[in-house]
Amino acid sequence: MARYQKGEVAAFAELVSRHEKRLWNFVRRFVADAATAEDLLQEVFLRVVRSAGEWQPSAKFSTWLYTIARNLCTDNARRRAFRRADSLDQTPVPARDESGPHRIDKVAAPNGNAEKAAMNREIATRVDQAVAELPVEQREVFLMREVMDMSFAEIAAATSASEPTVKSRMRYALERLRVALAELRDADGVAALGSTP
Amino acid sequence: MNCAQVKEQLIDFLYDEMSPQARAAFTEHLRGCPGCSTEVAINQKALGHARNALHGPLAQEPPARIHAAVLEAAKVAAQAAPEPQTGRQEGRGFLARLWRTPWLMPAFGAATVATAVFLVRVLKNPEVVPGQQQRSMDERAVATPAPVVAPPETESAAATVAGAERGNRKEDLPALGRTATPISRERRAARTRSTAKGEAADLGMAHKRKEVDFDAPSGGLHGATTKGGGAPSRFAEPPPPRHAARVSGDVDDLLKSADEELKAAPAQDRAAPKPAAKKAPSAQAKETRSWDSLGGVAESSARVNRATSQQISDRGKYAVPPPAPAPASAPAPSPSVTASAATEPARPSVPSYAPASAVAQPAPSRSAKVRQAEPATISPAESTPETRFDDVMTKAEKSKDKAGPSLEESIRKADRLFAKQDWVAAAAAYRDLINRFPGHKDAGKWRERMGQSLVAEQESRNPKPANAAKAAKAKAASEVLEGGKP
Repeated sequence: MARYQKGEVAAFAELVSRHEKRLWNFVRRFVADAATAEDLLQEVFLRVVRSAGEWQPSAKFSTWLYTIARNLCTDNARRRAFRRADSLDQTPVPARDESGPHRIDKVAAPNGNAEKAAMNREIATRVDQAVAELPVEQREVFLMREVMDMSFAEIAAATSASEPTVKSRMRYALERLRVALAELRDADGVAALGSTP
Repeated sequence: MNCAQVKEQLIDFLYDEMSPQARAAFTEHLRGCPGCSTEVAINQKALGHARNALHGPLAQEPPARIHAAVLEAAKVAAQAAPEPQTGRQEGRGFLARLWRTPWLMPAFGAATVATAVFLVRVLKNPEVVPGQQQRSMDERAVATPAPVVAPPETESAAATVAGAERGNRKEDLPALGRTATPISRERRAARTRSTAKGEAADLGMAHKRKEVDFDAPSGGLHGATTKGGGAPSRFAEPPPPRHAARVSGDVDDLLKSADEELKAAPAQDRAAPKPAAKKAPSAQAKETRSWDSLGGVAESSARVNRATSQQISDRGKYAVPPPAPAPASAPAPSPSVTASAATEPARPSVPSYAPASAVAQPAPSRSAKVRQAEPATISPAESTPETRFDDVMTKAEKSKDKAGPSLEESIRKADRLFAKQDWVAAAAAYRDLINRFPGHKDAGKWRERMGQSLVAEQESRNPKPANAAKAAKAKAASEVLEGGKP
């Protein structure tokens, strides 16, 4: 970032390459809408470009970048919650019993094990679905921790919440995920996660 | 650790953010608690699945168009900026923004004008710095001493002037107060000179200061000043230091009057009426004189104050009317009364019971006390204040040693006078006793008889029918007393 502040566009390109995948996964899973996620991802980087002069070398760039992304996603989620109206162009959120093709289905299993790949797809679908259904506070905490690899302290700083609160939100998010994946069976046919206690 | 704590610390355990001790306790609880163990295992498995889904091969790649658009925007932004922004250039940007602020230019202009005015005033008159204009000329003179070397006369004159001024400030009161303990003129003059020199040396510019402060029209002090140390003849007659003159004059006056009174003392003593009674001027009088001489002038003045207050209290106590002119038939003042009045000059006390002649007698002056204390045995010409003071002390000691009339003798005398109805003399005798022996057990009785004597004296002078009975009563009492106390 310091190099980009000196005018090196290549340095900024390197930053984008380093963080765009995580940011995309975060934004994509946060808003559950590909088009909105693309707009938000672009907006995140544009904000970085516009605010490059304000960045201080003492700040961690990843935290600063993820905080920008989180704020944008949170604002979007609030706007969506306010509208409560789905776009006619919007792809319907896949229901649990929906068997239509998903993007995840286009990814080939790396080990060639079709059954296991199918299970992974099933799990990924369930995880995406469960994450999309999480409350915003729990969702952002879960995604920042699991997708962006931020520590709980960094998450607390980014969300302006205390660390115990962040951990508590994480625990609730995990419980919901466990419920969502309860009925899944792993490749061995054993109940993957068991029933909720 | 219990199950609730396990539930609370589940996230810390899953993300390995526990301390080793807490983790050991957590694991220990899981070993003994199947429910918590199952709970933790299920959560671990769910988290594992979520991680696989999020970071695994199913993780999605961002659209390529976003990457290109973002890089294009960054390139445009970098080209739009005139200079690449660095930390240092950011400061320049800050300055540029500061220059663009609307209030900066007027404020800067006002500050510039104020600075210019300040500099012009300072350069125009370097000695006068604004803000110090109220400083007095004295301070400026002291602050910028000129290299003036004054001749000894000049220095002494300046020192004299400085000493005179200093005397105005400090020495006046001490000089007056120290008259009680005479100091030789030489010593005082030396002290005055030394202090004046010290002050002149300290100030350095005293003469210059005088030149500024007391210029020619006032005359006086200007003669003691010089310019650049020149014209020492101007100091041929420096004005005498005021306080020094006062001090020396005070001492001189005191000594002179004392000497004159010492000369006149024997004649006056001889002219004084001889005591008709058997007792001579009394050792009491001598003792009183000695006391006065020991106490000095300051003591005598203090005693005057005490006597005045005593007189006031006496008047209030006995409610005696102001003394009337002595009738022709009034008894002559007793020698003892005269002696008492003479020996206690500090009590202009005019004891209100005293005869008119005694009352009218003015209180002896301070010099009269000295005269009484010092017989004229020392020639004033050959005596200095110190020697005279020593002599006075010696004589006072001697007179102190002499024994006065004994207590019994005085009591007997007072009782006899009271019995004879010599009211004035009796009152004086009792008063003398009270003064000499105030703590005596019969002091109350003496005071009572003194009061009776005074009342009787008044009644004898102004006989009234109402007072006749009292007089008769007093007479009867005295007869009884006389009979009881032969």
